[in-house]
Amino acid sequence: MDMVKIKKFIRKKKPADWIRFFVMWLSAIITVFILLFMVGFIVIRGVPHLTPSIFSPTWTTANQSLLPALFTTIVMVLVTLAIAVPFGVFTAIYLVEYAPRGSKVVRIIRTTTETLAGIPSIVYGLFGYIFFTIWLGWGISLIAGCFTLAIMLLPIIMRTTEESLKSIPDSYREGAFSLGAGRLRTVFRVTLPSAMPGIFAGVILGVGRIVGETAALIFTIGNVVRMPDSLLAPGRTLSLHVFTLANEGMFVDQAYATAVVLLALVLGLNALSTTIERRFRQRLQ
Amino acid sequence: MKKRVSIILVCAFAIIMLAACADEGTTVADPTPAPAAEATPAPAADPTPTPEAPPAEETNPSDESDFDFDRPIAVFTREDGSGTRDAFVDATGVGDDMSVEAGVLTSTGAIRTAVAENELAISYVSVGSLNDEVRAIAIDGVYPSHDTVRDGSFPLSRRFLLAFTEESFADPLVQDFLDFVLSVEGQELLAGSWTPAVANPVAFTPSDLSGSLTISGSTSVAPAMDLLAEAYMALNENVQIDVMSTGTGTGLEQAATGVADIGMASRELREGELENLDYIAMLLDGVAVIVNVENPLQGLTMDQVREIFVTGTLRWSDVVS
Amino acid sequence: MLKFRETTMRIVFLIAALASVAAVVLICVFLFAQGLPAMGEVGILDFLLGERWQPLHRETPVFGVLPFILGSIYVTVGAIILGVPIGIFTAIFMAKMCPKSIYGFVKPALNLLAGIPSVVYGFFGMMVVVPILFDTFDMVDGRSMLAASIILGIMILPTVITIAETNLRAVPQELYEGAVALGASHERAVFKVIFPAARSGVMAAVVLGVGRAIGETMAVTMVAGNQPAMRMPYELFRGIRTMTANIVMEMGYSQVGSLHQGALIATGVVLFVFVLIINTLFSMLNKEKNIKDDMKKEAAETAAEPTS
Repeated sequence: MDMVKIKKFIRKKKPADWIRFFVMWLSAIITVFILLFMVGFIVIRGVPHLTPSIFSPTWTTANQSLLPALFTTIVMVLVTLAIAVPFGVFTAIYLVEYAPRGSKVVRIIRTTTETLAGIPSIVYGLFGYIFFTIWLGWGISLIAGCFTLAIMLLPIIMRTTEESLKSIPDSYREGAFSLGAGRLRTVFRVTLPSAMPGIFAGVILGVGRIVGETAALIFTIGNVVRMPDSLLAPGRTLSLHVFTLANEGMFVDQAYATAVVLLALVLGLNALSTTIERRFRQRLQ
Repeated sequence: MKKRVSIILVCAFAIIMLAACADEGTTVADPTPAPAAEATPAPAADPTPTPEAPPAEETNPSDESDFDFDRPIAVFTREDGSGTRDAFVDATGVGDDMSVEAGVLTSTGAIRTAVAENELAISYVSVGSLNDEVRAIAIDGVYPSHDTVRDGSFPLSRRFLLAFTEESFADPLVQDFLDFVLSVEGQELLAGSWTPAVANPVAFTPSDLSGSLTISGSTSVAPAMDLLAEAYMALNENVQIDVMSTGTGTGLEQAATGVADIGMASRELREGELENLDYIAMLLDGVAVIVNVENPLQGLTMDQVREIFVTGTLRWSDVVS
Repeated sequence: MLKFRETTMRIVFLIAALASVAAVVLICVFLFAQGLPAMGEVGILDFLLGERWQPLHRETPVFGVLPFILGSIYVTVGAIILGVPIGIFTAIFMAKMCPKSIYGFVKPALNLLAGIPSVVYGFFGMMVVVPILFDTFDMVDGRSMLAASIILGIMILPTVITIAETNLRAVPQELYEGAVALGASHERAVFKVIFPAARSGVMAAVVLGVGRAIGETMAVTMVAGNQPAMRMPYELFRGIRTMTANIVMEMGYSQVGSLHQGALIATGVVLFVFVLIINTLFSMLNKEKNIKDDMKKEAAETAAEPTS
């Protein structure tokens, strides 16, 4: 039944109801307040310090330029995606298009991805350090960080891809099959292209996660300011840069400014992801 | 109706919040500089030794200060494995008995910020990292300064070392860089904040090498090394030097295993470490005991310092009569 | 030829799918293989129940992680106490009370909150929460259990709200209508009927919040003070070190292959086990919810049949 129709039957509020009413409003207001206060505080304190010097091409001890960290972040994002996206998307394809429903393999894979999604990033950091940095002998390097992040990203990309593939109506597939296309052709020519925006939204969400990650990276890529000229060299991403500046307390202004850039980046990515996803849903409907 | 009321509510709230936000910004931004000016002049710059006096009375709070000595001492320390911590606990006799009540912070900057923000705080940093946010106090009547560190009269003196293996020393770039560190140019670059370790340095001639160096270790040495690396890279355009500020323990470990070419240490090398590492002394330094600028305390004895850090929960009045 | 390509790709997909399984196995194998021997060397009881942590003690290093386990539990409980009520009420508000115009503003705001990196939370905590606590409560230092709990309480808000809201929305509208038909006001219907119906879903939200809080590292390290001291739950104003903080602070210092490093990895193993328990709890609650949903659906269908 429509809410509007019900509304006139609903009883008036009693005192207890007013309390409930206010508690709920208060909670919601507190939540929104905290959020806006936090973002507002950092933006208000950070924007005045967004001077050209923190964007200068070479980092010095005096200017604390964030450009090397920004470029390192971009390189890390690209490499990590290059590793994680194929695995994530292929896994989802297997689960949705190939695996027999409810089979044991599917159950195992689903449990493991749920487990992966719940592991705290510091444990990933530990693992990355023990496995990639020491055991495989890659040393403290960007590539060790990329692989660590790629494992972290797997569940996100897999889940969003799976959701988007599932939301493609079966009629698409049936149409392709009836035209004589094989399963593979159907996947790559019909389902995957239609699911692309959904997958893209998931990937962008993953990028947001990479950009914001610290704990998994501190042991794997080290914490060195340098332009990312080699994947085997150590580096420092933007969020590690914020952490270091904030923690050392010597360049608080630059820390605020860098935090603004980081926030803008992450929030922008999240907003982009949400928009793409909404468009995708609308188009399917 | 209800909808309209709710929208108005939210708008009003947003405005209040923004106002609060701006307020907060200004209050936190002002580190109340007025009392700082009243405090006693920065003793680090004062080379004259304090008058000989019994240690207990040496701590005479000035009358105009309203510092409440009945409040607890907030003790901050560096983390386990830090060279500054090792040098400090060795020299003061705190040893392995550092109180668990001491707040643990992982960098020189973090310690300085914590002490600058907390008027109850006491901690220690490298003399080279002192600034006017915090105040160094006298230990056994001697203030830390370049002079007292150089002549050894400041009791918490130590050396900054650069450690390397024989294999890494075979690399001409490592040799050249170490030459630069010990040269007139290198030592003068650092003389502003630190005490040079080399009595008669020689001039440095750049030999235009290329390659890359990884230098890792003490967070106290890293600021000096950043300056040196910058200057060296300006002289040798094809050289890339990465300075990792990881802590003395890690730096020496990485130097010994070849992960880093040079390790930076802010304490003397231990027996096990000397087996495969050689070192040069790069700078002389002291560990300064620091307090908040509003704290009128002039100095402590070594025993008092040890008691503060071992107990962890003393009040200021317990050490200041 | 075509058939060949089909089968190869099928195998490729399967292999990719097994990568996540391989990752979990590798993580378990490597953490346990490096952590358990160290735990054994220290003595499992001495390790888990030891009250002192002095890994670099010159004569007798001691590795007891009880302070950190307690620390993690305290700050997590603190975060739950502070964050969950607000989170759940906000979720109820958003699911059942919120005017559409406000929803359009609050929902994106919450999504933003979920995306903020943890260093930014930590930075905010250092710059705002710690000084305010220090000034307000006359503490020895603002870096404390309370500061960590507050920051974590804020950090779990989006997780709790989003999942609780989804679950509240999933409660069949018929229940609400029934309550209203019996004379309940809107608030009463929401609180007494819809909320209990969604209870296990809301619990799942809380459990996921716990998972997020216990695994959080950077923000906690920045505001908790990191004292390796045994604390009682009421010592809110004193500093504390969590398992995550202990790992991130000391991992860099530990020598490769040393007992210290093994003990830190073992701390990671303890954390991992905690998280596994929480995850299992979460999926159990979810399953229970799904079963309930199915039953409700069936009930609704059978109830609907006679009338149609």
